[in-house]
Amino acid sequence: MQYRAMDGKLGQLNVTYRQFSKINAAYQRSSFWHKEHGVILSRDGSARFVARADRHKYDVTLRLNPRNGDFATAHTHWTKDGVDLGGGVFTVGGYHSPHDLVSIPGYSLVVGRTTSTYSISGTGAFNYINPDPFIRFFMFPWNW
Amino acid sequence: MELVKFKDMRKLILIPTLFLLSICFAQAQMIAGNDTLYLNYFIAVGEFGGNNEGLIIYSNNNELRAKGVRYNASSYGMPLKVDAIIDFYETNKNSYTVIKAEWVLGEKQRDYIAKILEEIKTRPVEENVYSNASEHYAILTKKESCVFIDRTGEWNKFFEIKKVLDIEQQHRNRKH
Repeated sequence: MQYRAMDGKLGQLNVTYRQFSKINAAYQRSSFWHKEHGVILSRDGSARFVARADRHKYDVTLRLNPRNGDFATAHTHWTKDGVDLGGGVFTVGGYHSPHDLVSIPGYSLVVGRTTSTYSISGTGAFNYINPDPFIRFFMFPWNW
Repeated sequence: MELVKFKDMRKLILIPTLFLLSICFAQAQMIAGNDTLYLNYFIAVGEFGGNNEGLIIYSNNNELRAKGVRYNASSYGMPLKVDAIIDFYETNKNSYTVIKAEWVLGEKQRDYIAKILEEIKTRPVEENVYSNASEHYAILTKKESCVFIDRTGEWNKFFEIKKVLDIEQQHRNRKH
């Protein structure tokens, strides 16, 4: 339903149903485990999750293989916006952090608790995906 | 055949000799003259921020002294380019808080710093790996500058540097 409604497009990016499903699954897992998850999208329509060792509480490492057709990434922000991590550092919700914008190459998607954004490397800016097509189930209270 | 063997032998002797020479050179360079050496690093707090800290090393009364500092500004969100990183530290050279007051470096610490400088200069960069919490290490003197961008943010060498030099490391809200 959601995939059909968005006509296979996330911002300017065409994605397959398989890729869309993996991004959804990544957010669900991220929300449960309280770790950032990532998905690497390939030109052949496939997608893969980042390795477990590369998922961390507040960051994720994306290993791309452009020769095999990897061209875009998606990662999750499971925290609420503005959570104080100490030392004047605050979390960023459903949009790209400044470090996302400078370090992730190519087409990049961020899925947060209520919103999602896309950014194209080098532009230094992100755009909201409207309407947000991702499915989010909350098994536990919002503050959990 | 003989010629090939001779060439291989030469390589076998040359490589360790060059390695030893480079360490000696690094130590000599660190100690020599009235130059000041800055060994700076960016410690990421996840993808949402981070601190720029470093060591300022200089010679005084024939002793090698150091102090640990935390820069008042942060390079967080800056483009991951060598020039931009060097510019950041040049601009903020005098804007820091001392986190460990000046002390005289012991022999072990001097050797360790020489080793670490060499490691930073020669560390290979991983291709096509991007963490949104990358870190960097920058060596600056009057003569030269060298930056290693740790794209995975997993080298965590600053932990070791601070441990060996007895600089307190605050809890880092990052990897669990």
